[in-house]
Amino acid sequence: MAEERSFEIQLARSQQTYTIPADKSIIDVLYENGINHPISCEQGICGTCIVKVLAGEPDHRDSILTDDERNREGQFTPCCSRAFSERLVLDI
Amino acid sequence: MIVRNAWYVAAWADEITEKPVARRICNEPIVLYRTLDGAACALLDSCSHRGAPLSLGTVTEKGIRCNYHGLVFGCDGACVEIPNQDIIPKKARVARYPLVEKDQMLWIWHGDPEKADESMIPDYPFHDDRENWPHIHDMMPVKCHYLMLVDNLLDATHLAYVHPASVGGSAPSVHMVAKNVLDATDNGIKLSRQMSNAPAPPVYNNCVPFPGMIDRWQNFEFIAPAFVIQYSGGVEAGKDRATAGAPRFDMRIFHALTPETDTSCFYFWSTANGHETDNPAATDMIDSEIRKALAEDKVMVEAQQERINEFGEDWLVDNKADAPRVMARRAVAKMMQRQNPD
Ligand code: FES
Ligand code: FES
Ligand SMILES: [Fe+2]
Repeated sequence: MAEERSFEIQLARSQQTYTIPADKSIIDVLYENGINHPISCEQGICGTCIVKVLAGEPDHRDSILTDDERNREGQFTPCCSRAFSERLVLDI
Repeated sequence: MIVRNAWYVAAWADEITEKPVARRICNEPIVLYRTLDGAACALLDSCSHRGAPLSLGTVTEKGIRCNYHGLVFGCDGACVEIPNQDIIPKKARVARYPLVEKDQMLWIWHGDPEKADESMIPDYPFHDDRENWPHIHDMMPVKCHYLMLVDNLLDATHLAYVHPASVGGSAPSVHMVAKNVLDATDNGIKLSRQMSNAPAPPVYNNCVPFPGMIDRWQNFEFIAPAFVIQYSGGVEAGKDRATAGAPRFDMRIFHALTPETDTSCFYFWSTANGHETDNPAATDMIDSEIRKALAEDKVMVEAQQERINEFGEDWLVDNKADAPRVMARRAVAKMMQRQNPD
């Protein structure tokens, strides 16, 4: 697998911005910052963590979302997915 | 999660005769029977007079007669006769359920009868294709939520643990490394698994002795809310699946799970033989082997349901291999949401 890259996320509700380093998941960083977003499988299977992407280009890594759910509804699994763009705005 | 506006299999067509059968479906007691003309009917299993079960009644020329005080009901649920009484009140009727006979099954609709669209019934032409796919069918009551059997069918990783002596084969790693292709469809999912150069599982070998390793396939289509259409088989490793002759194994299984209550269901299945179509013993062999596997599943899912009754499901953590069942359940949830938006 290609080398992961770091990117930024912005949480729309609190307007907080965090950097996601190459070796951590979005969820890792949220938890380090005391944001206990619901999770279960941590690998894009169960759907517990699904959130909406409000801006940016997501790099989906889950195994369950349909194209429609990803592209039209903007669903995204922050436990395992990353970003192609520099910044992702999430509805958290 | 029981979807009401959906067709479910109420019975095999050959199970239902003029002798009424009581079956609880989607939490409602239903009586299934045939009129003397052979038409299959489904009514609420409770007489509009004093509530007695119609399944204790008798089918007569005019309809099904309740054997408590003798009221008779037609297939549309209306009372047609009250002994020693001229007036038949308009309200003397029982709920009737749309029931369609198709592909050797009786399909029942529990939701709004206006919405009962027969084109939503899945097609399974193999049941009538005795020449190319001779089959055997049966039903088994299982004490678990119907979707737990969908989970089970779409989960290949349990084969190695629950079914080592039947459909599984003994090497867990074969199932773990199988190549899975998983796609969402409009009303469910499609899952196909290929296992190359794998040992033939006991069932395959009992039916068709293979001299060595085989290439196996398992194709599943889940159609929400309650059907799994399976096509599995194997040819000698390296042979072309489309053209390989004997020894080869070709099996189709139709699985229909019908909710009885929230924690129990009816498991209707058929096993069809595609490799030795003119040999009834081969059809019997598949049946008896698959029966063993289903009995193994039943033990596990019923025990699992007891724990889920006690501790719920919210704390359970999915594995990577749960993707197909999670997608299947999402398809059911979507179907449900389309029906009751808000
Ligand atoms: S935690 Fe299961 S999909 Fe993200
Ligand atoms: S390993 Fe799946 S239920 Fe325990
Ligand atoms: Fe099984």
